Amino acid sequence: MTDEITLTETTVGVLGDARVGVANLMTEGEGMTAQLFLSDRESGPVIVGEGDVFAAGGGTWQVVSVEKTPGRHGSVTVRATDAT
Amino acid sequence: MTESRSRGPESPEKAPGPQGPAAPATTVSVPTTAASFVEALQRSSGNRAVSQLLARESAPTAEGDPALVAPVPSEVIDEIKEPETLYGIKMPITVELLDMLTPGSKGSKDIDKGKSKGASGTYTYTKWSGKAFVKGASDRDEVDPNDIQQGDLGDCYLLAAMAAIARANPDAIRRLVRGPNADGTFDVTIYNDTGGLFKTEYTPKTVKVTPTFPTRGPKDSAPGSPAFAERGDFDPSGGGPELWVMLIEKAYAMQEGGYEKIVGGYGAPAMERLTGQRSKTFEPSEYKDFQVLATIRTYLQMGYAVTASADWYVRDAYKNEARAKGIILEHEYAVVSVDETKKTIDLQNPWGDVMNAHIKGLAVADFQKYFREVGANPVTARKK
Repeated sequence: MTDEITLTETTVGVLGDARVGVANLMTEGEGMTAQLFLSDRESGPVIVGEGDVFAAGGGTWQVVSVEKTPGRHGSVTVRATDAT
Repeated sequence: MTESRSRGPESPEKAPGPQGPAAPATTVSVPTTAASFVEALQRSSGNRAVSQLLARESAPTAEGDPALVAPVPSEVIDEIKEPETLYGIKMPITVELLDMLTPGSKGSKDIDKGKSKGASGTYTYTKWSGKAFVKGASDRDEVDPNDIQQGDLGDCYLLAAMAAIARANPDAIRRLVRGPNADGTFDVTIYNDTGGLFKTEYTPKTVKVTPTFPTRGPKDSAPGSPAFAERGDFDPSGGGPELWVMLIEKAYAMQEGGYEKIVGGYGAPAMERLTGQRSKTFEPSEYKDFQVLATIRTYLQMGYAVTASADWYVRDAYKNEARAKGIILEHEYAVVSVDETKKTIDLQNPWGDVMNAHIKGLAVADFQKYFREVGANPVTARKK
């Protein structure tokens, strides 16, 4: 599976069997990070940036990009880590 | 306070101001009638400008509006009747002109013929057999705020408006959705502003909505599941899922010209489109903390639906704080309750219950800092 999934800021997408809310994209250091609210994680949201790997919905996902244009909702693009 | 207005998320706005000075420790007893409330607020704040603004607000009622006192007419209005003249001036009436003058009245055609573009690509439509309303095990009413679950569409303002109205008056939601009809469609009513340039006048418009909705494709996670608003409760007797949120979202999109046209907005004008009643708005940062709490509490006691818009233009330094407090910026919430003793506010995130993203016990000082606007809608017509 090579497909990337793009999640939009302030909306809810699905990764595996987990619902994932994306929030609060901001610049940290040299890149952008985002806050992900995962329906299968009870210990609070996670902060991710480009290249980070996180677990959700029974799989692991790598962040391909975090992008935001000021004044517009940003987006987080991920792909499954078993992608070829 | 001001009357609500539509504005897009891309509109340039002033940067949020810093938190104002702390309010004096004052106890204010706020009556529950609008007139005495205004008087009480004037006395407690000593701010004539505030109370003049409040007093100036007089929500136009829809007394006599048959849609508010009787079931929505079964006939479906398919076209806007074009006037021969506009404001007494003879001029060619074009579709573009009507669109400009009557926002939100662009169409009633079903939108299944096209495909809907989402963040992950283009979605196709799948038919869902279900009921408009299903009472879940934990629901106080079949129309329950916990039926709301936003999907991959930036219409948090619309879903927050639905949640706020469902909490204030489930009947207000019930009268918007009728069906299923014999052909499986539902009749869904949305109010459009037909008042033109110089006044606001909401007219109910009912459209036939087929229960087909954008669904995730084979390359998405959870293929076949709804891409945008989710289903509500499931009928234990096999009647299928609860569809009212999806139906209203689709009817709203139909009238705006497609799902992509309803991305971005604010709760106050969205509530007007669902109730036909004017919303009132105010900026929490312009009031003292006890005024914010008393105002919201009074609105909730009076049966208003209340929404709150988290700010768009916030410095990154503030965003870190917002993250830590669980506030999602650039997002709309429904207001659940206030605690004037603890000086806190509870907010419902339209994302739904499973995300653990509702806000409970938010300090009013943080509410004033991070929330740009509060919207309040009377839901039903009120006597002046």
